[in-house]
Formats: sequence, C-alpha cells, structure tokens
Amino acid sequence: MSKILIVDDMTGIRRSLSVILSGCGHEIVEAENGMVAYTKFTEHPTDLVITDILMPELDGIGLLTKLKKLDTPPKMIAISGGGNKVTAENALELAESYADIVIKKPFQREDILNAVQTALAS
Amino acid sequence: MHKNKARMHAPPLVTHVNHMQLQGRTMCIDKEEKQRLAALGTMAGGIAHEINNALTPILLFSEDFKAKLCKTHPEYEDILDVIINYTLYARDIVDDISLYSRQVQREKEDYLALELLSQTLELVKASIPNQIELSTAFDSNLRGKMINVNKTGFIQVILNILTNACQATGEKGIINLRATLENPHRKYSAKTLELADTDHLKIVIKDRGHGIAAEHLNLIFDPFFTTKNEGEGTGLGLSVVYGLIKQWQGEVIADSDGKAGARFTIWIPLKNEAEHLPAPLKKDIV
Repeated sequence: MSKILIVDDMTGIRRSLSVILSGCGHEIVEAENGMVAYTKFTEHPTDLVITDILMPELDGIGLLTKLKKLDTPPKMIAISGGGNKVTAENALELAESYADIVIKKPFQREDILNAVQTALAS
Repeated sequence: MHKNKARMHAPPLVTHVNHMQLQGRTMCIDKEEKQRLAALGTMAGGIAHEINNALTPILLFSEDFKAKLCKTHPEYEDILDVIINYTLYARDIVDDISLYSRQVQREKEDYLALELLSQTLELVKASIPNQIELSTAFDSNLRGKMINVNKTGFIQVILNILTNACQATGEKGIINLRATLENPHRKYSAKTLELADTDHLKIVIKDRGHGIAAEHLNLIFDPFFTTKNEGEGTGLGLSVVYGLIKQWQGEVIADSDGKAGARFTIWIPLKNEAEHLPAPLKKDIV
C-alpha cells in the first residue's frame, strides 16, 4: 500500500478522505495548507499528494509547482470546489498542467478511490 | 394529425402567445437581467465554494458508512441512501445556480454548425436511456455554415432540452431532432421573433411525452419554475437554455399540443459568408 499526503484547509474533508483511504490500507499524512504540506513532504516524502487548490499560506497551485520541481515528484491529485473569485472549473483547469488527475468537489467515494488507483498506477 | 398539418403553414396560437411574452422579456434582459445575473454570479461563486466544500465530507462519510456498515446493519442502507441522494441533489442545485449565474461570462467562438451539433449529440448520447430512440435529421445546406456560440453552453442547451424530453417520454419512445437552415423571416412573423433577417440554424426537438400545459408555457423559462417531482429537477435548466440562446442573438420557443408532446425550436444566426473569409479577402469585398 502507499503513503498519501492529504492537503485541505477544511478538517472535515481531510478527515473523510483519511478515513476512506486508510480503510483501503494506505498510510495517511494530513496538512492544512500548502506550506505545511511542503514541509511535511520534504521531511517524509509520500507516493501521492491530494491537494485542495484554494488555501491560505501557500495554495494548491503553489504546492504543485514546488513539488513538480523536485527530482522525484510524487503523483498528484488536485481537488477544488471553487472560491469567491474563481470557479471550480477554472481552478481545476489551472491545476491540470501540474496534477495527474483533477476532481471537482463534492466528489463521491468511488471517484476518489478510482483516482487514487489510477494516479498510483500511472 | 390534422393539427400537425396546420402547423406546417402557421404557428399555433400557443406559440404566438409565448413569443409575445418572450418578446417582453427580451426588452428588459439587457439591463436588469444582466445586472441581476452579474450580482448573482459574484454571490453564487462564494456560495458554491462553501457548499461544495461542506458537501464533500457529508457525501464521503455517508458513502463510506454505507460501504462498511451496511454489510452488518442492512437496516441503515435506506437512511444512508436518503442522505446520499439529497447531498447529490444539493450538489446539482449548486451546479445549476453556478451555471445560471455565469451566463454573462461565457466566451463565444465560431464553430461549424453541423460539426458542433454532431459532437454534442455524441456527448449527450450517454445521458439518453437505451430504450429511448433519438431520431436525427440534418439539412445538407448547413454544411460549411458557422455559428458563434459558447461550446460548453451549446452542449448544455441541447442536453437540458433532451433531458426534459427523455423525462417526459418515460421509459420508451422516440425523440426527434431536426436541424435545418432557415430564414425566420420567410417562415414565421420574424418581427414578433425579433430575429435578424438572415439565415439561421434551426433546431427542432420534439418528444411525444405528456406535453406542457398551456398555462405553463409562459413560465417554463423562468428560474426555479418546475413541474417535476421533488429531487428530479431544480427548475434552472430551461432558464439556462433561454439565457444562453439570447446571448447568441437567437431565440427558443416552446409549444405543445396538450398531451401529444412538446416541441422546442431553437434559432441561432449563422455567420455571414463574408465573415468566414480571411481578412484580406474580406477587405476586398468591402
């Protein structure tokens, strides 16, 4: 099974993803924004990063850009429900250049399980 | 049968009434409607973000509980299905409100009318139940003709009307979609329609479902108007259709012979031949 870093500023979203993915045997690390996530990743790299786009401190695009520059970047999934000034579609369109898979919130259990399986297999 | 024949020569009365009401709406859509949509767009963006985030753990946890708990406690399955279905319904409402509010922001591009229509039908085919037959007919005069629309919006327009037609048709039946090149001034009273005296792409989608009640014909394009059962529709689909087609200087008209089905007629102006040509040639013509 794989090690997955879940990044979202909403505790409920991190928690629900964590419960589902740890239930499938994956080891989970959580972070509440891009800055904390990047620090955690550099200390203990993971196979996959699932990140929200619009977050305080360092947003998802900033995190994906930093991770992409690493010698061995992880597989990446971007998730977004949009924001005050940007739609979910626009945020995810932007993330498509960096992430392996993008998913619009709210998504279903099967969506995230399939995305994780596909990203890890790619 | 007799009614159908009569319709070949003159638009039915209910259609005319609907045109008049739409004409009244057209006059105010440019001012108040655009301002209202812009304000709604800003507000909807923020609301959509918050609600989409809030719905994510509800949906994920409900489905996870269903997957794990119902193996040993099947009595909870119905309850969890209610939570899941209502969450998905809330997601659809947020999507529809976002779509409705973003009508003012959609970029338009030139597309070959027949090509775009074929691509659209390929995409929407998956949404049509297997036992419902979609019969299509395209006018060869439309070959090489272009329309100036938003592609996503165009797909949404066809999808929304076909979805309604499928729901009205029920489990089994035929829906007809016909695309022709026509000048509305030569067919109907174009002054009433307020369309340009030029060639148009005319798409007629006809079902043989339960039809639209006469008293509802002037309401179906209003936001949040719906005759569907709870959970089946948000009442925003046709208002999205109406708003998008208006952006393309087109028109959408609904008519119905009571219980013999409903017919939606879409008019979208075709681009002038000169507008297709490269810039230097265009200049020569001028």
